[in-house]
Amino acid sequence: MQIPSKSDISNSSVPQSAQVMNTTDMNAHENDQYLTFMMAGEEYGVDILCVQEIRGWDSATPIPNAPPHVKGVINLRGTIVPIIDLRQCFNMPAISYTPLTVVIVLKVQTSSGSRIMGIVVDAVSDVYALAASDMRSVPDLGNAANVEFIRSLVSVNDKMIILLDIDKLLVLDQVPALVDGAFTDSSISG
Amino acid sequence: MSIDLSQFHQIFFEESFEGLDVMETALMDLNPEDLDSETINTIFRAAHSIKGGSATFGFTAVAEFTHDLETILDQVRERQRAIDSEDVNRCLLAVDCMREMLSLIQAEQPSETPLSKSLKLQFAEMLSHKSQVSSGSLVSDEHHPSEMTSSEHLQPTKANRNSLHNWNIEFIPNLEMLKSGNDAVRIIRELEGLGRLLKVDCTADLPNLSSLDAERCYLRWHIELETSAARGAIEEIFEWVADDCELYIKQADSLDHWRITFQPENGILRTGNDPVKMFSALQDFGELKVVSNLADLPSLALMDHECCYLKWQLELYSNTVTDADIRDIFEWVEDEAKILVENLTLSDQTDAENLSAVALASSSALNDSNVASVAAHEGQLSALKSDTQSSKQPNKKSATESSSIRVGIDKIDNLINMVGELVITQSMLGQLGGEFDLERLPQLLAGLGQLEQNTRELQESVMRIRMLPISFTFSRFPRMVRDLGQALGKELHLEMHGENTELDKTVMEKIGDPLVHLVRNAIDHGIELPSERLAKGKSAVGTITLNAYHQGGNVVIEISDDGKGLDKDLIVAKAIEKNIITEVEATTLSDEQAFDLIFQPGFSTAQQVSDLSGRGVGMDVVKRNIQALNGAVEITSQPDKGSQITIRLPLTLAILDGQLVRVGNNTYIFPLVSIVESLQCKRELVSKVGNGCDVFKLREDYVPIVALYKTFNLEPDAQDPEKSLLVVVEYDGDKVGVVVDELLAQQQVVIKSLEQNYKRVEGVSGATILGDGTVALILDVSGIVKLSGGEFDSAKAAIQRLPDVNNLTQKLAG
Repeated sequence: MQIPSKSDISNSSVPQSAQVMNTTDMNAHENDQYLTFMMAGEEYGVDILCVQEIRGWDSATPIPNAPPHVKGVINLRGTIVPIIDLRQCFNMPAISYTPLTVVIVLKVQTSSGSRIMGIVVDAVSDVYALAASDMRSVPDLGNAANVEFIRSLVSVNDKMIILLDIDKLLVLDQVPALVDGAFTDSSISG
Repeated sequence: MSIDLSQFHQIFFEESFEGLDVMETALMDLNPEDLDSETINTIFRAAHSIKGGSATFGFTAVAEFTHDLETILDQVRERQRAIDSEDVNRCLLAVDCMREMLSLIQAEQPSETPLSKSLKLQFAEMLSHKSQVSSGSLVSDEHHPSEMTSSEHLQPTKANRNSLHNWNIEFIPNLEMLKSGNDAVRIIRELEGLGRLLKVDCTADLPNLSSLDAERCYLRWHIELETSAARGAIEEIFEWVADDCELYIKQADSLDHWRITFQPENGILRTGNDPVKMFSALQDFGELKVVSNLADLPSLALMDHECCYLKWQLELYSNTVTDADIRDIFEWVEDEAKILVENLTLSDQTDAENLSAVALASSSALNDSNVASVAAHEGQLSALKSDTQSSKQPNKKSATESSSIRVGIDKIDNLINMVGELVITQSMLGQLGGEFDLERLPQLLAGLGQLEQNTRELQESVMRIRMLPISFTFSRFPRMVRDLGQALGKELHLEMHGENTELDKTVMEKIGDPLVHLVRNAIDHGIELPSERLAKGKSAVGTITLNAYHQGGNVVIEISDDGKGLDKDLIVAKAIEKNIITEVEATTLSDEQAFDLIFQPGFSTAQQVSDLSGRGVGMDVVKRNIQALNGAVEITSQPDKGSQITIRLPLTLAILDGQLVRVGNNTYIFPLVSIVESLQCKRELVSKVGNGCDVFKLREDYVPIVALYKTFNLEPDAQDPEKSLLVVVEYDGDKVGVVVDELLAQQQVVIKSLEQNYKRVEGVSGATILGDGTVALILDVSGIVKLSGGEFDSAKAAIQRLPDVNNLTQKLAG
């Protein structure tokens, strides 16, 4: 995947970035903070305000007949919280869990109010303050990938970070539709 | 500075609904012959606060409506007006109407209902009548316009409905209106220029003659106008006085046109519902046109006489019916049918306005006319759209809207005390933990014991917050019994005991409808007509008794009547006719077993059906609702002494007695109430019945077996039934055996929602947290049965055939 250099972007795609700024409603905040995590060598980011806590993997109670990416439910101080394996969500090969495996507990806004759920990721990476003006809209990847839940791409120190629209991603009923090439690059799907 | 008033809406609605309840209760107490001023005051105060509140929040329709009611009540209070039972009935209707208007506002819909309009007219008539009587025609000679006709009330005919409209105009000038040079008579003359004045009623609010100011206007008018002019033309006439008066212009009520599309599922008849009965209930509201759709009728050979293949489209013309009334009739079949209720009147009106808009425009430039008709067309489209949406909206609203409860301050104080104690215990334990040695072990144990007690007490008081006295549910019955008694010509007396028995709010909300149904049944079928009662040597007045009390961890509600009781022979005969039992079985039935038959789906004794409780709903719906609350219902009856229905409900839905079971590595919980027995699975008692489904011979019965590891795709200890345990559970009156690996402890579990953060899982009703902090799922037996699907059905069908084989072998042996 090509990462356009900074100068490149500022010259060519000004209207596009303006559009991103509008749609993501970030004009008010110059710098929003994002928590990033690693999965299969790629770095993904979520809005830090959605993150409730980060905890180690602990065994979950499986839910009968649930899709494979739903690992089960855990007791989070009296609340029943479902745990979702983001790797399996994205159709990446599963890895075995260790005590070092990380669960990010997110608060997701849905049409019926907010829900809390945990996502299993490889490792937590960093927290970045990202300016809305640096964010690039997602290129059209054709039918090969479903880009609906990618908010934008941003490059930090020449590394690309994929910012996820977590509200759209974790709508449970739609999760199974993500399989088959969605959100993969050639190294993973091939 | 402006304050966002909408944040107070919820409180306003709650208070208003409470106020309406108060009004209703007080109206029930009101004795027209001997007026108690305190009761009148109570009603008046409630009406007054509702009026004030709704005016503050801008719900003018309600404010206006309540204002008239209040004026009448005020006159009653001042002893200027006599009140008869007819008036009380009207006031009760008004209470219903206000309740409905408020609910409509809550659902953000227009609050005008046909009922409110007709009541408003009635009130206006009452008021005008009064003013003429008490104040005479002192000023009216001067101000009464010559156009005033007698109070004849003309209904528009259908033919002129589209061109001519009836408008109700309520014109309430300020006292100072005349000073600004405006003249009411001139305005009314101008109105006449638009069309025909059907009625001009003048109401006077006159002060004493001594304090009368000749320059002030003490009159108000109610005008009915028949005209083809649009609203704008009428408003124009009042343009100059708009600031000096209150003005309400409304299109008068014509017959509302409702279209109801009713598409039942095939199985609707099995639930004991009868569409024809619902239709005849609808007919009571007005003129009904029924068109049935035979499109889905299968060929004769494939037809099942218990299936319903028809779909209906109903056209109802009525001016009293509301959306809620119609939904009420279909209430019990909502789950089994697709029902769409549309009010076509609104779109009719838009049609008419279209016409006038186009007519106006055509007189001006042609271009404009295009624009106008397009705009009008769009208006119509959006009106239609909102109309179809509105039939769904209320349900959605009520699901998301957060309800609240009022809690007594004593309960809160108690809670705060508990928390205080908890904090003390915590600090004591903290201190103990800081400098712990073995000698202090007894102290630690004592502290932990204290903590345990604190926690339990805290839990109990928190639970008590959700508890409300059952009088909240009972309070609706006096009115209902009164209305039903009047409708049926029966003399009734309602006794209520234990109204202060407390019950969880959720349970209370769900028990309301079944209770209403049972009380209706008791009145309708139980209590005889006065003549019949006298002939039997009983008092003419029938007594219905509602009783509630606590027993163990349950709340018991009893509904008893002193009527004719259940007819065992009739029930048994009916059950045989409907193939629910065989004749052989019938001979051995005990009374209780026979009475229990009325809870069977599809059981309805035709002789007993009437308009009231005979909407075609069987008692099975009642039983299902109660079972959904983990409750039980039983019935006892003695001929000519009456019958008694006893409902047992758990105190709360939040805590459940559970049986922990293990399958492989997983722990699941059965609600203890659903378990009949648990036993070792013996191979010789298990037989295979086609399709790989097993049945188990439990003494004389055969129960189908469901293997939990199969349904849930788990890894069991052993697939051999010999090594597993069978938990026999009951659901919907049927028994089913569930295979598990091991029975663990029995314990109380706190029910946690899975749906809150996840979604509904078939076969699981909720989750709980065990002592070790892990999550365990609570099983839902009917869901599990559904999951095992076809397999189970074939086993059930096979079981129904099995007894015949048994009989056969017995006969052969004999």
